[in-house]
Amino acid sequence: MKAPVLEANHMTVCYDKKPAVWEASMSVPAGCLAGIIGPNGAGKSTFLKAVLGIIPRTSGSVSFFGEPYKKVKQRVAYVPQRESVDWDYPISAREVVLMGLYKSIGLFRRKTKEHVLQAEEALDRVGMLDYAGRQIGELSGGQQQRVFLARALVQKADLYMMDEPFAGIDATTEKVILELMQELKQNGSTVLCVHHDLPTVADYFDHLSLLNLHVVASGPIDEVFTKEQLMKCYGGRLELLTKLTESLGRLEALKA
Amino acid sequence: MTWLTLDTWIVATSALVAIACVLPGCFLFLSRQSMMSHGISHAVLPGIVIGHLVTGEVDTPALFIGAILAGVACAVLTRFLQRLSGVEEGAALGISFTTLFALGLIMQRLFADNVHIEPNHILMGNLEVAVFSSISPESQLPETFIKAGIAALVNLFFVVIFFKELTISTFDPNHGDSVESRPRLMYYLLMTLSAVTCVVAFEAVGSILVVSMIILPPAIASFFTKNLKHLIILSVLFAVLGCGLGHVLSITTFGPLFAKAFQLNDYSSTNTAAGITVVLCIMLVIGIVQSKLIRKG
Repeated sequence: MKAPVLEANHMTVCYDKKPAVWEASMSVPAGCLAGIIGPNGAGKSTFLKAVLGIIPRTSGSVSFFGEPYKKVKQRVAYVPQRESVDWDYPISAREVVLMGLYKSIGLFRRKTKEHVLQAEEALDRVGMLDYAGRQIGELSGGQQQRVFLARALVQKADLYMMDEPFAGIDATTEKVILELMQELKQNGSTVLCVHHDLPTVADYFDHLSLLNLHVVASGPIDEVFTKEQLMKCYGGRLELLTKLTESLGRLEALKA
Repeated sequence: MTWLTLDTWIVATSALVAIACVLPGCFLFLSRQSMMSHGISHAVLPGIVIGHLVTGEVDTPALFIGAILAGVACAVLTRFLQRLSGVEEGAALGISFTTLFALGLIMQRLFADNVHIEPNHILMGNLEVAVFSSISPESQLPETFIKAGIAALVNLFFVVIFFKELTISTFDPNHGDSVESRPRLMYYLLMTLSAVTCVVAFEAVGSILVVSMIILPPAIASFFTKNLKHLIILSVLFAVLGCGLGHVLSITTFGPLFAKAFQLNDYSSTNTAAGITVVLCIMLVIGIVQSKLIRKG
């Protein structure tokens, strides 16, 4: 049997001795679109950063494709939250995407035309080719997210890990990301997304993990995305959420 | 205004110091770590004193190496404190560099009080005096000029060779880690070069004004361009321009004012470094004003 693309075993992460993720275990099979959802402050981003070693793990182990992360870095592309970088940095969208090609350009070498073409092709795939020369601060939130996606695309990874790619973006960007996820899946890649919007979960993902400090449930979407499991993860807040979405739906209906 | 050969040396030396400062300065500025230069420039003191204690001399490479190690120690200590206690970076830096500086002061008072390692000299520097000590009796070439030139060349080499790596690690170090561009190594290399530059720049401009030379030119340039390479080139140009104008300002305006105040005839020994900083500040104001005008217009 093929090793899962990502396997976390009893992983604990602490901030200031307080656990942010507790004994989390998760196994993501190859070729799926996997989502991680959970209430605010449940440790979703922390989980992603900790499996990648961006923040230290207190205990537990993590493997990618059955190997330690260090050995397979090239096969994993990470799309961080947009707020994690300084968008005033004086570089263009094209230059950001070229960063994803670092390994293929190599130490002491300069980028070639071939690299620029690759970067522009990726920008084209996310509908950002016209903005290639723009300084990144001049782009909208959704466009910045697409630049980040293009940077991940050129890495030609087997696993794409995205932290809240759907947060605060426009409809065009949402469509682009969804199409891209489907495309990646068809090509045999795996996508793992931290997500926060419950109503869209069933449309976007086929594998789901519910995280609230620890992993409440993880598996195929129809097994995990059930009322009982969600209640376990969100607790009383779920009632509030469903009521809220219901009333919002009614409001929309009234408007129409 | 009388312009002597000495004035040319002062401007040329300060320009080289400024170029050396600006090159790592651009990346410190962009990664919002400008004040690290302030910390490093103070933290080198214990390194200098230890270098002296080990060798028993004042003018040896040991002092230089000690200073660089202490400067890097400041950067390491800051990161360590930040990780360990979770305080914000500015606070961590405040703790680490003042501690190292205090340590240096105590050691100097205890063991090296009779030697000429003046804290005052380190803080203020003196360009006018520095250009007097030439490399040999026959030559006019000031030693500081040579040192600053070497520092500028080393920094230029570094920035050209590691341009990609520096860009990735200052823009998005986490991504740098995932594409294996060694962001951590780059960070410490940048800190090492900042330390080297600070030590070289001391003699000329002092450790306080080093900071203005590191931060101000990139800050000014950031108002005029949105392109990293242009930002670096513009920073260098602004820095050199600032040195020329700063010295002119100090011999035509500050000097006479100073002489009048103290009723001296000779007013050639005002602080050019201060003049340079004033000019750079004026340039910064111009930059801010023009960026506001463009945004409105």
